[in-house]
Amino acid sequence: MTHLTLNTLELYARHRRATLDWLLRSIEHGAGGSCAHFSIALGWSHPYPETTGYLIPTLLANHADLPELGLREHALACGRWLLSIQNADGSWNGGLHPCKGAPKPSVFNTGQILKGMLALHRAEAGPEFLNAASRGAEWLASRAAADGLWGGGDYRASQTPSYYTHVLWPMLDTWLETGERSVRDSVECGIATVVSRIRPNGVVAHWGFTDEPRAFTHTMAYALRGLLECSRILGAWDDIGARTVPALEKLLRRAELDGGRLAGEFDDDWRPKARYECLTGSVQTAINLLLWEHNEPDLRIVNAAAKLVDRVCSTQHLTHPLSGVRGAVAGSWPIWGRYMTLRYPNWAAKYHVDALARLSARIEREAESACASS
Amino acid sequence: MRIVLTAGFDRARNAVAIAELARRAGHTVAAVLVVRALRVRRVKQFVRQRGANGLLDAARRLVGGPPRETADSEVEALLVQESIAERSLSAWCRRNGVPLRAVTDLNAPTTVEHLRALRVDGVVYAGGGILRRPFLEAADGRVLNAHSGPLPDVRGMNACEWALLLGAPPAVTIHVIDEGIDTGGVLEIVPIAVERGDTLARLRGKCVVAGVRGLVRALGVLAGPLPRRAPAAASRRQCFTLAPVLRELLEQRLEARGGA
Repeated sequence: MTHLTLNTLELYARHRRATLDWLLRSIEHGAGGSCAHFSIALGWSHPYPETTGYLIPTLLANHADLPELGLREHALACGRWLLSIQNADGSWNGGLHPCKGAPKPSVFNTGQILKGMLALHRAEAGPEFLNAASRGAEWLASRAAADGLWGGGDYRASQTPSYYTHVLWPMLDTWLETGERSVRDSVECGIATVVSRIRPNGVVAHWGFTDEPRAFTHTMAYALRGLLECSRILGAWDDIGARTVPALEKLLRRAELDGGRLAGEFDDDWRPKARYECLTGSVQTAINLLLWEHNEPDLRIVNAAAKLVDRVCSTQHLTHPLSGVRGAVAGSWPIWGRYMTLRYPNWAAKYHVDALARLSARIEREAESACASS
Repeated sequence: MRIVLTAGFDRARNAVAIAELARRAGHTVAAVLVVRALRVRRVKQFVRQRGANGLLDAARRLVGGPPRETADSEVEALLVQESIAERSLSAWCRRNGVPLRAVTDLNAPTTVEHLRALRVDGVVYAGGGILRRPFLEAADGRVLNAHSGPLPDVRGMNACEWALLLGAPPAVTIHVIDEGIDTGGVLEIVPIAVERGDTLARLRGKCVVAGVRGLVRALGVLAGPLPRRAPAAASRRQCFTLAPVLRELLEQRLEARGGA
């Protein structure tokens, strides 16, 4: 069997490496965790427990391809730091670390950190990580209301935003490991609530940060990803995953018609509400498209994902003299857009690495199947 | 038949070939509508969809540059084979006394009015952008197109490439244009053979040539009722321009098949 080599895959590998290098710099400056963002004016921020948590699976997933970067060791160090700041009740606090003002346990942040704990447990880093995840998930389940979501939470809207599916997903993933029934029951209620918010045009009501009928693609993608992942874990594509398809179809079309550019915000009728792009939302959408395509194979979906990823690659500087900019992904493009204005967030870099890895793997699979059949 | 021909630019060689071959087959080209290429909105949209390289390619074609290894070389070969001397619609129109109208948009009210006034049997579409309802109504729904992929399965852009990627047999479909994207009734599906040595560019060229011949062959149908849209035609997912990574993958696949 002949292996095909594609120049574009090599380009993706260069971008992945540069972005990982940037993420490692965010950890070097993070005093235990990964800095939330870099800004040209203010430099590196304090570390962000939430995104440090979900950065861990990214580091571990890339370890085998790039062993020289010591990604596993960095992931372990981040995990230990997160263990050190876990609250006695199993939760983690919101905001950057250390907190400004009185620390407040955060539902969303706790959910994201579970992903790191689980990934370390699955990488056989030690039993303490599953224990931490289990305590976190039980805290989340104990705080959930009858609808499976969280009243009076740490969000800016009047009710739990729909992107809290991104909390339901790691809870469910934890249940896979612990078998704790109360966690799964709570998640099922939450999923049913969010699924009931899906409108005929695919919009998931309340998927923005606020009550306004508009959302960043970042939180839209969070909401859809949570549903897609819960659907995967529960083996419930028809009941949950397929419900995201109308929204994904809209996003695919938008991305295709504009060469991979996706407006940073949309309203509830899919009207673009921004002239800038929310780059993290774009690569998160690429990941969601690939998750959808995994269930309904079609290279036309991969095509849109590739254009989104290519677009974000085109905004990256791989040789910039400033190490905080080199390999970073801006919050908005142009960088003065409304989302994370003038900053390079670590979550944009994390999702870019994830999207590049997922897309490259999909293309390699396609290339290999072609080789095998030729 | 008395027809109107549309084109996206004056040096569209495929449109020249259609005009001349239709004339030789005894049809009358009542007018040619050419969309003015250099409009800011059109250029902007083009760059967004196809990138700077796509724009450079288009610029080369606009100024009538020599065909390189693209679809153009196949069409050039057709022109030579058929002894067609003209390389632009304006030259062909001058030689044959056919009025050529440069328009900003085929859907503009003045263009639509002009078409209505011509009272032709139908329109042959050889480029010029998406046709909207007023234009289609002015043509009484009698607009023919050659699509470079098998319909209804592969609709949208880069259809020849998508057919290969999706494992559909490469073909050109002669069809009626309706308000959807490549959803109108099908008149003929012309298979395109993939031969040893074929590149993507050559395959695209073969499709264009098959489309030219298919459209001229189909003109007779304008005398009678036209086929309607297949019920599920619009439910097939639309294709868009290929992302570079998939284009590269496809080119290598062709090579691995024993192509170029």
